[in-house]
Amino acid sequence: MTTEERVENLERDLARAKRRNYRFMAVLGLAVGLFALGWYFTGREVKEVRASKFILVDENSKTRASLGMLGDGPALLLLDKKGKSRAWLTASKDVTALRLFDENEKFCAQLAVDKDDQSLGLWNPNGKTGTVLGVSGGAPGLTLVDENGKLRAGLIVNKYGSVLDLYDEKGKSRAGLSVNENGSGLGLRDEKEKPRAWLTVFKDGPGLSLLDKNGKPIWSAPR
Amino acid sequence: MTTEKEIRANRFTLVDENDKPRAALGVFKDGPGGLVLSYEKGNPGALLAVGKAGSGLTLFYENDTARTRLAVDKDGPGLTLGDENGQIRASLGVEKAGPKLALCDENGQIRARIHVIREGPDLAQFDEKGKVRAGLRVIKEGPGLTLGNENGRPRAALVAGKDVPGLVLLDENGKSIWSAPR
Repeated sequence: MTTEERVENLERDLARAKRRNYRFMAVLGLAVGLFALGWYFTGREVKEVRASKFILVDENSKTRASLGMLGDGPALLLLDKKGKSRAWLTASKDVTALRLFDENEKFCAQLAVDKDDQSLGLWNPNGKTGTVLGVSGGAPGLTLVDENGKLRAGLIVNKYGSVLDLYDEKGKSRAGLSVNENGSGLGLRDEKEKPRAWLTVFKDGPGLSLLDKNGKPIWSAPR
Repeated sequence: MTTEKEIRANRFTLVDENDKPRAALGVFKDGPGGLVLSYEKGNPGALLAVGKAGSGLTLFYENDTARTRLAVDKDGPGLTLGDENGQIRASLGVEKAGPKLALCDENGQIRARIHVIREGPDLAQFDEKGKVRAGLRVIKEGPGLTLGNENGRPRAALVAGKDVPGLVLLDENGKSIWSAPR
């Protein structure tokens, strides 16, 4: 092999090596770029992210949660797979509340605080039957409501004492167990809410009285 | 609009149209991790948090006084409702002894309580000094209603025992002054 031929071979080898090097650098550059891109999108960890709305999406890009402003206050909203609202947590000027909804977006539970009241309310899907445990106007109480929306039972503590009341289907109080500054007593009432039987303990002692429909005692004990 | 697979941060802050922070999801300094929703003045409205002592949701109104708290801690789950002074006025919980509902006056004194304990369900109403003035309970021996005086002593009892129902009225010393059947 002549000297010219050897130089030509060397030049070809050098050119091949350069091409291999370019390809390697290109692959390396691409890998570094992809890594950086991946880090940017998946591994990025920053001190704080500020936004006027955050949306969480599922694998089908459906919104499943959002944190944003709703009216005059912030709100967290959680949605099911069908896009139905299932839970709200809000803090607005009028009320701060957690609300839960069923699969038909019927309102079924609420924990709420407003200027005067705070309460936990549970309702069935008809929106009438339910129970509320709350503090309203400074008086704590538990109430139970039937399928017609009528109050049927209530346990209330107020400035006079405490009372457990049971109501009929017309909303009339028919039985009450109360404690107040005068004493304690169980009262049974007729359909016009007139007392017909009293078992009491007052300062002067215990007593049982049965009354007619006009409220006149017809029998009593111990005298 | 772009969708990112994951964004990692110590804190996500929601700002309103005036760039005021109104909500934050994060790990709070020296405290629990959670979500806080804030009023315009910056005071908290709702706090959903998980910490060493337990997890819970606390709702506030206007001032920083917690008004309502739903929590789970080592003693069990519970809900408390407070008044504007922060005094607990109603509580519903499940304790070791059993589930319990209590309603309190403005001084924090329990005035009405329903609980279910090993002996059975029990409704009790108390006066402002904490004395039991009325009690309705179902125990192994049968259901019964008792009314007490200002010293908490029973003065009237209506019971449906295993053998026979009865009503008895008692004097201050617990001695029967009238009963039926005799």
